Amino acid sequence: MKILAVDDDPVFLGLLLTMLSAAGHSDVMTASSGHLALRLLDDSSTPFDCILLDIQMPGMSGVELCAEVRKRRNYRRTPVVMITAMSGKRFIDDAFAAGATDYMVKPLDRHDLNARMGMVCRLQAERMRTIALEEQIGLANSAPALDFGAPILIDGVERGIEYLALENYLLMLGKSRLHAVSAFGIHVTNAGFIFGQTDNWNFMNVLGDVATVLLDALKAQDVLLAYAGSGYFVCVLRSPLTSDLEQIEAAVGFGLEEFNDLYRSEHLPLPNVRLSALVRHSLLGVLRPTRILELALAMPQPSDAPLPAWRKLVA
Amino acid sequence: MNSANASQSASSQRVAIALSGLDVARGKFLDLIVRRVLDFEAFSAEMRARKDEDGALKGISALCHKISGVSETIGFRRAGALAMELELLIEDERMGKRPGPEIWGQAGPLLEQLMDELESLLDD
Repeated sequence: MKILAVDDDPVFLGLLLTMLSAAGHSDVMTASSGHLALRLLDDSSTPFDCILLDIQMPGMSGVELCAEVRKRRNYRRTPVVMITAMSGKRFIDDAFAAGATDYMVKPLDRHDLNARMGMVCRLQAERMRTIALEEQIGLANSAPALDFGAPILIDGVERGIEYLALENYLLMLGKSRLHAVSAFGIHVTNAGFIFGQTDNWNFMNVLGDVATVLLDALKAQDVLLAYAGSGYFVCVLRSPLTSDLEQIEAAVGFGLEEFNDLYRSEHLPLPNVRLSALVRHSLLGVLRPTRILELALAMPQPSDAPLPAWRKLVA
Repeated sequence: MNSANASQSASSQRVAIALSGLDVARGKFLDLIVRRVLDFEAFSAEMRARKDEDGALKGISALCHKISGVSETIGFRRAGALAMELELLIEDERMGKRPGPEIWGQAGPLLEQLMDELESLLDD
């Protein structure tokens, strides 16, 4: 696995290289600043498989660098792991919003590093399989390979992140911040029908339309949104909800109406969006942090819709 | 070589790489101590002279951030703990929780302790 590690401290970089090497990762390049890192990404003939970024760097911070990385087509889905000292934990919200996949805390712990890198390897292997499949299918219709039941990163949607990253974000929050978190699910009830009627690119565009309209309706809120698969999104709120969910659902419906002519020309129905009730973490007691996502998503659904992976676990 | 022996050998090799890498990192860290202590002294003088206090606190915090990020892993636990405590204290000031001069009342002595600890690492 080809890794890029970015930190302005040469001692830390040396230590990181040692620990990665001891864990079996020897193909590692380093950069001492965000600008040098971007140059390496742009000049590299084969893309990096994983990027490790220090958050607190002079000049371009790790969060800004992460956002720049995500603007590059080759790196939209590459695992980006942020590295931060305890004092930098307050930057983590911004890092996840900028597209980070996971985070590690300094000083580095060998077991933690190995666990995170194990997750990155599994993620990257999965992505390589998808890319290989896309390349095969691409010969026929140049569309990305999609499994209807699987989570997808919705490209180009600000505050839209991967489902796995949303889980990692919740796992990172301390008890007091987790207490303030709430979540709700969003079900595109006719997603299965639309998926069957159109190609994968168009289906991705439909999900992008729903995400854009939804985040527009929530623009006053501090939220992160992820697509969980099977027509389900989940939205995590980091501050109290200031509007009624029914109003938000209505605003989403109105927003999607504006796409009516476009959908008609594609012979597709407008996405039919339903919101679940709000789940507050403060009411969940000592349950594991990611349980809130499962509960937010566990709302009634048509019997013909396949269960996404997380729902099979809940059921 | 059977697979169990091969796996044990690879594992021993990784342990050896890790240990030699830690020695290198420790050496680099010790090489930088004199420069860091001099930087700390310069920032400390600025604080005492009440000259660019914000810049001086930022500088101290950034150095502490670097020290706390590696110290524990390379075996300098006390230096790491002191650096982290000092960084968090200064961050309080920077987040507007307490004014700079009040912070310095606590941060100054802590910085002295940190510099003493760093210098003692050179003696060892």
